Amino acid sequence: MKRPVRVILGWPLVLAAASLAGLVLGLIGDGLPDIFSWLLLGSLPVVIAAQWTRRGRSPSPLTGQPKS
Amino acid sequence: MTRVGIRRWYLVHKWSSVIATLFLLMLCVTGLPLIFHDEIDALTSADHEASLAGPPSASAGRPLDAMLQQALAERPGEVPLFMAFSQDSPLLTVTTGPAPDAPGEDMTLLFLDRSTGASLGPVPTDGLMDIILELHTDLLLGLPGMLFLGTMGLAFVLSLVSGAVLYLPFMRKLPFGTLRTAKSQRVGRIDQHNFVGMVTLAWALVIGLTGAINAFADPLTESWQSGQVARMTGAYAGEPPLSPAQYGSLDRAMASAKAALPGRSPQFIGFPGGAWSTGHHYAIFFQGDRPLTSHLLTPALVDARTGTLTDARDMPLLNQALMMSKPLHFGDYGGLPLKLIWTLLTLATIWVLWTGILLWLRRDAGQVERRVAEIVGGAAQAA
Repeated sequence: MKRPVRVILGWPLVLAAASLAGLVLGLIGDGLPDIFSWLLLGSLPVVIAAQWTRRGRSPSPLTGQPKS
Repeated sequence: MTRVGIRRWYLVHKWSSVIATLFLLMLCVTGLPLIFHDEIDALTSADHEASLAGPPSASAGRPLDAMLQQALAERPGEVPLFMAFSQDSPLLTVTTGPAPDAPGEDMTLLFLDRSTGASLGPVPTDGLMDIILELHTDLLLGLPGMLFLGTMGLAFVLSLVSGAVLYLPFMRKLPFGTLRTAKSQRVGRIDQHNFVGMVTLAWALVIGLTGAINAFADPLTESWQSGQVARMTGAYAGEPPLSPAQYGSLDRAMASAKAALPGRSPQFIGFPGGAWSTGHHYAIFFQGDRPLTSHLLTPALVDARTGTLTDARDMPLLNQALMMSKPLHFGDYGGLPLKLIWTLLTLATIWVLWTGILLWLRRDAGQVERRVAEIVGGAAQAA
């Protein structure tokens, strides 16, 4: 089963966009932009922790596809 | 991608990582305490920013001339080099040295209270944090160390880009987030390396690029001084540099600069003869007036003898990029939660570097061809 490029890069691109938006929002101002910045950048460690606790199990929660 | 192309990217990834990894590990480890430098500084010394009452020194207080005299009285025989303002408290910092072009190690930093005019003594130094900062900036080797670490930062960027390129063919048969830790140790490590590396990719790219730009700060400032500043002050080119006895009123100079850049708040003044000015000017650096531009400085060059404005211009694009790079690299611009996230992402980066080292150390003969075959075929046949 081969996966198309847009599927392979889907999640990485979403996370990259969240990172960059978070980095810029933090610069824009205090208050609400800061909170969005924390949520967006904070999603990265959350994704790592979530996948780590589910490692070795299938199907993968992010894709719904069975692991190889 | 062809097999030849993958092989090339694999070698780029391997060698850019092998060269830079040890230094990157050092940068991550020394970077962790530096994220919290504000909190650590406040713990280890008197927190003047929090304890002084009155308007911020950037906007009001005693005359600047009086504050400068007060500072110079503490350092007889020395000349003023910088005066820096706080946007939050009456704290004012004056830097003095034996000569207008004194190097950093000969400078003395003095704290003053601009609302009362009181002297708060020399800026306390925290030996350990200072050494950590120096290691992180230049390996204690000065400019050559800085440029070397900047090059390591660029190698880091190259290894991130090549790693992302290899991720694509490798993941053709695997869903995102696959962590086959129950299979062989090597397969588990590859998956962790790929997954954590890919999640933190954009953040790590920004940290690597901004770190590299920061490393080239000194040459960038020099090129601004010899380029744009020289053009702005062409009329002074033939004149000998001013001696400190000829310096005129700071308050008059500040008034002229504020008239040229209304509504902006000053951040620091570079005195004549230093790296941030000319031989004849007070260079008064103003912040932008919006949050996003508050990290961007615009200098107003004021004739230090007469106090009249010579010119005020935005700095060149590369120097502006340098100024934006500082907060983005340090992660100290969005409160404590952002610093904690910065810590977690740094730890994740250490994990990517560490699994990368282990994958490289535990390799065996003929491994390049086998790794390449593994990526070419997609990872499913890896185990």
